Amino acid sequence: MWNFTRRLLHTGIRTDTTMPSAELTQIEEVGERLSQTIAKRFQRALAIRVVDAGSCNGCEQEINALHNPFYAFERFGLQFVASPRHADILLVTGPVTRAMESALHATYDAMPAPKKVIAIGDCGACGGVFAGSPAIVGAVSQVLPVDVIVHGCPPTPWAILNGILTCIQR
Amino acid sequence: MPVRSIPLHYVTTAEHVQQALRIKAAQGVVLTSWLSPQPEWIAVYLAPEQGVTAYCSLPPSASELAILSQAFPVIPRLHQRATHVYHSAAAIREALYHPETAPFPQVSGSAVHEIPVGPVHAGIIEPGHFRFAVVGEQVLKLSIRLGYAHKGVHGLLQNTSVQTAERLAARISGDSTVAFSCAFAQAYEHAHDITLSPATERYRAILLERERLTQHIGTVSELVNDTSLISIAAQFAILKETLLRQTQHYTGHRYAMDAIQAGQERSLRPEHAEQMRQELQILEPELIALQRLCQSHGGLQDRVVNSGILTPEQARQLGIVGIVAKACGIDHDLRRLAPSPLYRDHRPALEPITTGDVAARLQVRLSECLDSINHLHHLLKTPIIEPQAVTQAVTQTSTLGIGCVEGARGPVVVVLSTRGDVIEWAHCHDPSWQNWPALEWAVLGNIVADFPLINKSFNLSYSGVDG
Repeated sequence: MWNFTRRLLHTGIRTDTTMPSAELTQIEEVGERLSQTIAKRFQRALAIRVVDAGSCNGCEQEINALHNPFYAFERFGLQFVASPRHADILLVTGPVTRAMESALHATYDAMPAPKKVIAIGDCGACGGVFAGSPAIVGAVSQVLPVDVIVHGCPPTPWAILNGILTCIQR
Repeated sequence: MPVRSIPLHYVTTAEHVQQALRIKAAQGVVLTSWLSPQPEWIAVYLAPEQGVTAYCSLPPSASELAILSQAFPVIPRLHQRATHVYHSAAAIREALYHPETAPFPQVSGSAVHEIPVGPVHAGIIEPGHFRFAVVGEQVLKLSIRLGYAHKGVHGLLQNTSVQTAERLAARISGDSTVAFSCAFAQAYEHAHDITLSPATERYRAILLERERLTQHIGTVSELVNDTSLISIAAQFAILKETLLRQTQHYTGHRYAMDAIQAGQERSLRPEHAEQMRQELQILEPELIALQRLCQSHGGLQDRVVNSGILTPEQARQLGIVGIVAKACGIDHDLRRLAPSPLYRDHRPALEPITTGDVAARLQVRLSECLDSINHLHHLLKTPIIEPQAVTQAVTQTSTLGIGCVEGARGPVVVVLSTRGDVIEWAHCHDPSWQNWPALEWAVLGNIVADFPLINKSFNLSYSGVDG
């Protein structure tokens, strides 16, 4: 137990301390605006549900990275929820495979209105490298009404946070 | 890493089957087996004595396939997929787009109930459907249904340019992007008989070891997180994020996606070598300290020891490869069995573990991390001389090429046929093909609540198998 506590004290707070300063300022600004908007419009709790509609799992890694102490995204008032019934925003990754189309619809339908959809990554934006395959439907916008698209293969965690901010400021 | 000049034998089908059974008898495994559109049957095997060998023949008959499936259970599943993607009528291909229609094995009994999970999971993971038949809290049977991430990769890889194909190969499974790029590049170079400079080979080995390090640390972080020990999970997550940011600094991409290109010379910048050495010097003691914390934490050990046991006998029978096999004491590491010049002086040590539980897989991952750090130090010792770009002549006739590397999950193999700079067809093989059925065995008798932990300790790719 002592070793464990000493370890935590030794590590300290890592949030944001290693970013290049220009990027850091920009991020603090985004985070600040995000917190303010969430506090005002969502009572400080914005619930997000993620659905992988057939991605290569690169986007999932970057979404999961939001949890790590560098980004610690929950400090802005966001959280990932397990049930679509608790969610305000749906993040969709992948080029929506035909096998996932109905499951994606069902998830969206289970969310209470008003709801927003963010397409994550180049695959979600246009099918990415998989565009043209008969096994995929293609862009998320061909299945659901998409509010914001976050480009990148995969997009960085900050790009994803920025996308969420853009989405709730609309 | 790079396994140079894999011997490819053209044989009769009967001889191929005979060789396959001989390899099985010598404790070997099949790395991949695929039917090309022609169709030819190409299979790559790994045996402790002979290393990697490949055979090409006409496809096996139904009776030969039945014999083969006894020795290598993964072969019929791979051949079925190959037939579906290249030769099937539209109606059969349509079934690939609707995995939910496939029937489940029925489990009956008055105390049995079923728990369906997925394809949309509670956490942020890939899509797949699990059906547990449960008595009380114990799992009586688990049926895994995949295919939800089926993107039609084999179709896209037919008659396409090498540039398009290598971008696709890098996205078969995002967490093994370097391994797939590397195997693809090797397969292409194998077909065209291209030899690249040692600096490029070393660059690839460095990226591959970095990927192993990053992904193992990430998996351990998520595994520890599933035991509810969140502060230690966060410690591992810090190390992973630091590695990702440094990889971006060296290659311009957090996961080094598309950093390896077939037939292209590339190396680290000389100043990066020193930076990476310093980075690793900081990382190593941190990792050792965390490893000790994990080993001495009673709460963590209580969850991982004796959960999700896969016995060595089961692993041998199923032909398991990679981390899962290592945790059962089965040594199929390509870096050791088929070493390239880059691994001659430094071969990864084999952990003497045979327990095959979650704790064993955790231990194998952590010790591989430390091994990768050592190996990276070794690779960084030689001064970096940036190679000159050279254009190499490519063969204008159809040629088969095979590439295989030891990725973080296990041996990643690419088999392709190329003519000039056109890829006629390619199969990119993730080791999850062999290992998914083992998960169905490992959860038996465990409680449902331990499934996330067991699943994470296997850390198999859905996208890599669905294709």
